[in-house]
Parts: sequence; C-alpha cells; structure tokens
Amino acid sequence: MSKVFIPIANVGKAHEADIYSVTITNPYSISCGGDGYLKLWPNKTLIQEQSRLKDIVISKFVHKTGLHHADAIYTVEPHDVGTVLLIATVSFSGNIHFYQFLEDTQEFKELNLIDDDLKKKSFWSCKWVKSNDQVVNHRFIATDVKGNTYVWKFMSTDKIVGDDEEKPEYKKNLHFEFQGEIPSNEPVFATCVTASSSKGLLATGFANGSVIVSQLSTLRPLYTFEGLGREGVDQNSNSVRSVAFSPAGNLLSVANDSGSYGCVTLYETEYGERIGNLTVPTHSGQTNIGLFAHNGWVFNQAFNPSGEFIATCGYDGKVRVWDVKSKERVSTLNISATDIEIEEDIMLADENGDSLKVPPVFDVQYIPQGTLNGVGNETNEGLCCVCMDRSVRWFREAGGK
Amino acid sequence: MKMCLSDLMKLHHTKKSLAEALTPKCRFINMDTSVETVSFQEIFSTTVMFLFRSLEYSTDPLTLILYNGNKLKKRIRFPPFGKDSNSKSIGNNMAILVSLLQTILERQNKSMTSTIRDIFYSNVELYQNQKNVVYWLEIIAKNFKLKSRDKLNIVAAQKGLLYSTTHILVTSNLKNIYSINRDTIELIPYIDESSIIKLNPTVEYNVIVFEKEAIFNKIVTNLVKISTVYENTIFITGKGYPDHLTKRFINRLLICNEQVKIKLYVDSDPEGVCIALNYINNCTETKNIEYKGCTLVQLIKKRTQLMNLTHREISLSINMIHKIARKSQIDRTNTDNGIVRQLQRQLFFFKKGEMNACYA
Repeated sequence: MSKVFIPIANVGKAHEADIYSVTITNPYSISCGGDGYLKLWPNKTLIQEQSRLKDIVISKFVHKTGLHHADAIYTVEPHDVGTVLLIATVSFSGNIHFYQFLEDTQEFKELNLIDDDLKKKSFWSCKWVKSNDQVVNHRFIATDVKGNTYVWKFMSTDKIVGDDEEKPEYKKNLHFEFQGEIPSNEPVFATCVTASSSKGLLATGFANGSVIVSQLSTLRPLYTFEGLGREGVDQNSNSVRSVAFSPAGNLLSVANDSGSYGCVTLYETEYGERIGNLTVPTHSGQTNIGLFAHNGWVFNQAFNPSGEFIATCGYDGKVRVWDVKSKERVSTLNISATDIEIEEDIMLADENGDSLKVPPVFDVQYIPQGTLNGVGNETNEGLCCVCMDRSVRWFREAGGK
Repeated sequence: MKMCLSDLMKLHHTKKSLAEALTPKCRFINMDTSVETVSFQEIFSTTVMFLFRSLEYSTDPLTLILYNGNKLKKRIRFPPFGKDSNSKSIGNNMAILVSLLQTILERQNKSMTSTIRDIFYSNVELYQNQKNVVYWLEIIAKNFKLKSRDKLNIVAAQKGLLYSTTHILVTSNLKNIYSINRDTIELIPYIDESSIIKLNPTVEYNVIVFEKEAIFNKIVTNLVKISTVYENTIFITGKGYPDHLTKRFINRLLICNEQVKIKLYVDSDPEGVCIALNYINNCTETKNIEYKGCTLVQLIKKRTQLMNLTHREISLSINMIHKIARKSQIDRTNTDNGIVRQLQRQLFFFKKGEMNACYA
C-alpha cells in the first residue's frame, strides 16, 4: 500500500553553503552546513511561521571550516537534572563540538566533553545512542578518518557518597567517560556509524565497502560484511555511506555505492545474514537488472519509530520510503528546486554553474508522531530532508491512521 | 729557506705550537657581500676576478668564506690541508664553484640566459648531479644578496606550455623584446619580475590554465578553427604543479593588463585544488582569477567511476580548508569560497575524479 507525504514547510537558502546533515529532536530540527553554522528550526511553529522561518531560526556559528555531521540527544535526566538538549557536530577540521542548548534562555553552552589527547584525532561521523533503560548510560560514538571508532558513556551527574552510604547525593555535571576504541586494521575512511541500544550493537561503515558490527558493551567485533555492491566493477565503487539499525535493533540497513548508483541492503543482526535489498525495477517491469534503490548514491536512511518503514535519500534528488517487511517502495518524493515557497530563495544552480534543479538529497530523518503541530500531527509521522540547493524541507504523511 | 722538521721540533716544544708552525699562511676571501647589491654585476665581476687571480698567482692556500643561510658560515680551503686534506669533495666543491662563477660571468657579459640543465650537461663529470648545480647557485645567490636566483642568468628549464590565439609582446629590461606568435605551442618565455607583457588594452582576454598537459594538447591541437572560436584567449599548462616561470608569467599577465581574466581548470581532487591554490597564492592581484573546476558534480553527472580519497589526500584537504578558513571574512574572496566548497564536497562524497573524464 502506498503512502502519501505532503510538504508542510520548506526553507530555501537555509545556509550559506551546502547543508550536509539534519537531525530531529522533539523541539527542533537541527541542520548544519558548510558555512559552519548550526541552525535550530522550531518544530512547533514550522507551519504557522512558514514565511518567516529564517527569522525565527536559532543560529550558532561553530567553526570556520564548515560542519558536516550533527546529531543531538533530547533526554530527561534523573536526579533533578531535568530535560537536556545536547548537540554534537563535527567540523571539516576534524573536531567535535558539543553544545547544550538552554531552552529557557535560548542560549548555547559549549561543553568540553572529550579528553584533550583524543581531541587531536580527525573525527568524521558521530552518533548519540539514546538508552531507554535508566540503568544504562546514553553513549556517544564517533569515527575518525583513519577508521577507528570511539565510544564514550554520557553521564549527567556526579555521585557523591557522604556520611550516609545508602543515600548518595547527585550533583549535576554533564560529562563523558571514555569507554574505549575499536581500532581499525588498516587506515580506511570510516564514513558512518550507528548503534542500537536495545540490541547492544554498534556498526561502522567504511569507504572500502565493508561494515563491521561490534558489541556495544565490549567493543568486540562480531561480523564483518565485505564486498557490498556489484562484483567485478572498480574496486572503489562500493563505499558505504550510511548504516542504520531498526529501533528494535533486529535489522541493520546498509547503504552503499554501486558505481554511480546506490544500494540499500538489509541484514538481520542475530546471525548477520543478508535478508534482501531495497530495489526499484530497472529497465524492465519484471526483472531487476541491478539491485538499486536510487539512481545515484544513497546518502542516508532512517527507520520510522515503529521500524515498519525506512526512508532513504539519494543523489538522484529523491526520498524513498520503503516497507521493511515486503521490501517494496511505498512512496517516492521527487524533490525539485522550484518547490521552495519563497521565490527568491530558489537556487537553480550553484556558484560553479552546476544545475540544482533536481537537487541531491544529503540527509533524511523521520519525524516521530507528535513532534510537529497542525492537523494530523498526533497520528502521522513526518520526514525532514536537506538538499544540495541549500534547502530544508518538511513533509507529513497524508490522511489519518 | 724554510726550516726542516727537526729544526722546527727543536724550536717548538709543544705539539700545539708545532702544529701552528706547520699550518701554512692562508688567504681569506669573504664572498659574502655586506651591502645590498645595487650594481650586482660590478661587484660580482670584481669579486670573481679577485678570486681567480688569487687561485692563479698566489702561492698561499685560500679559504673561501661563504654565507649559506646559516649562522655558521661555510668555509672551503683550497688546496685542502690539515683535517680537510682527506676529503675528496673539497677540491671538487671549489671546482664546481669556480666553474659556475665563470659561467655566470660569461652569461652576464653577453646578457645571455642558460638553463640549469644546460649547465649541468656542459660538465656532467664535474657537477655529477643537477641538484649540485642548484645548490651552488643558491649559495652564490645568497652571498650576493640576490632576491632571486634568476639574476644570475641561469634559470630552471621551462616546464609550462603556452598557446595563444593572439600575438603577445614581452619586453624585459627594455633590451630584450620577445614575441609570442599566435597559434603555436611554445614554452613559457623567460621573464623576470620587471618584464612587461603587452596586450591590447581595449580588448578583454581570457587566460585558460589547465592542470594537465593532455587536456591542453587536446584542446589546442584537436579543435578546428580554435583561433576563431576562442578569440583573444591564451591557453597555459603548468604540467601539474607549476614552476616559478609559469606562475610568474601569469602574475605578470595580471599585473600588466587589467582586462585579463584567468580561469583555472584543475582535476577534481585535493591535488588539483592544491595546484589551483599554488597559482592563486603566487599572484599579487587575485580578483581576476577564477577557480573553475572541473567540479566533482560535473563528473558525477557523467557517471564516471570515481576513486576514493586516500588518507594523504584527506589530510591535504583538511589542511587546505583550515588554511583558507583562517583568513578573515573580509580577505576571503569568492574564489576562496568556491575552493572551500569543492574541498568540502570532495570530503563529504569522499571521492575524487580527474578532468580527463569530462573530455573522454
């Protein structure tokens, strides 16, 4: 059964340079770009303030070299710490920058969470792993350009044991405890990382086409998937661009290049077996000649909160939504630069004159129910994507459930 | 009449004083000119003549004191004695230096220019290695406080190629006038910092710089009627990383002519960007230089097989982004922003491509 997504808001020229990443938290959609800015778009007022989104956006300049990855965690912490919104972003200089966004005062508070000796690494991707178990810490994972994966445990308080040992006191102190490193055997660009708190697994994707799945508690590698993509083609054509665990952690989705096309492969995580590809029919309605999900590289993918659907985005300027069970396409959003509401913010070509009429989509995220406002918000999920025409677009599933 | 060793030993009771007595008197020649050279040729010829005479007529050994950029000056004794006497290279160094000085003197007198390669091949046995020639030329230039080694009239062999669809006149020092003919592939002519490249001031000129010689050749030899299609265009290639001469030629073109627009076409990889920056950073006036690509987006559109970035290239990209980002917002030009954008995209896609694919 097909799904229909309707555009609910968009903003063109949202950043001065390419927007490489977007992440969704309950209050804000957070984008980061090559101009070095983090931008927080308030989810609750997206629809009403559509025409003046650029006025209400909260911007924070982070680094001159530009930002390429951002991830955030919005969590309620125990011991009177309360709600915390933490944003991590990686700059092209290889540094990770941490901010706590204080919603009351709308201020960014810079945090120094990583030890100085680890700051020297050239980091690339980063990911918060939210734990729904009170006893298990949230974790933060980052990869570097040499292929190593680093894991930290996040703690919001310091435990102070006073005279009464049974009643320790807790003092608010947002900090990291370094859990360990998964070293790489050879220096290969570790392009993406993800983890599943529920299954206790961590997956790192590499530019040479391999994916290593490790145990989150011990950081010991369990499986290595190699040689994804077409065989017999140029050795470098199967780079992994994105890895994602389903919310329950029983599926791992890997997006990798196959030459200039993009593939998405699903693996089950119990035994590490491949269970299928997400494909669109090519050339013929009956047979699939290539197992492609997109007619271009797949940059990112996101499972919906229930794990039934997965959204993928690609260089072909399309966002596709797939039914995980049947592995069939249920929706395709064709992005066009001319969709942008405010005419002067439409960007048809970049500064080099390269056309952006069908802008590649660099990132897509699912928006959980109840995040946006407006009709149908409580029952319907949404999608948010960032495109090479420097736009951020929000969609909502049409109809009721 | 000199004393024999036994007499000397009677006179000098200690080892130290005997060694001193046996050390010959030495003539010191300081090659390091202390004044900024106004009339370089005059000082050069006097110093060199003095050195030659000393070598020819003086019976005393010589010690040449040379400034080599370090605090401790370089000393060459000739003929070698004492501890140096076992060293083979001393005599050879002196021979190299004298031979080079002689050559420079000749070139100066005749106002001729030679390439380092020519000098090296004129006496391979002596110089042994082209690097030796470069090393000693550097030392000579440093001793005469020259801003550029080229003032010695010995320059590096030209690397860059040029093809112009218009006639260009190059005037250097008002003496030499060099003409670049239209529609022929030529080596970049020898020019110095004061050369003037004359173009018609009423016409707008395009200078297209290619990183690759293959592309340059393809364009200038394969295109029919190139001079009618590309009027007033100068094609240049530095064959990879450009040499000083190619960079200087482009810089002089920009300085002498306001109406010149330079377009840099390089590979879509960090090395390509580095080459583009090499050209840009050498130019004193950068507003008319444009970084054109070829961009990664163009290559992706062509569905060419792109290679992954190597670890070295990733570091190079990060360093270059850092370098440009350090510039203040006012100093950053559109070209800088374009280059940063390309580097960011190359890193984000972790791919690189060569511009040959565009013309395949």
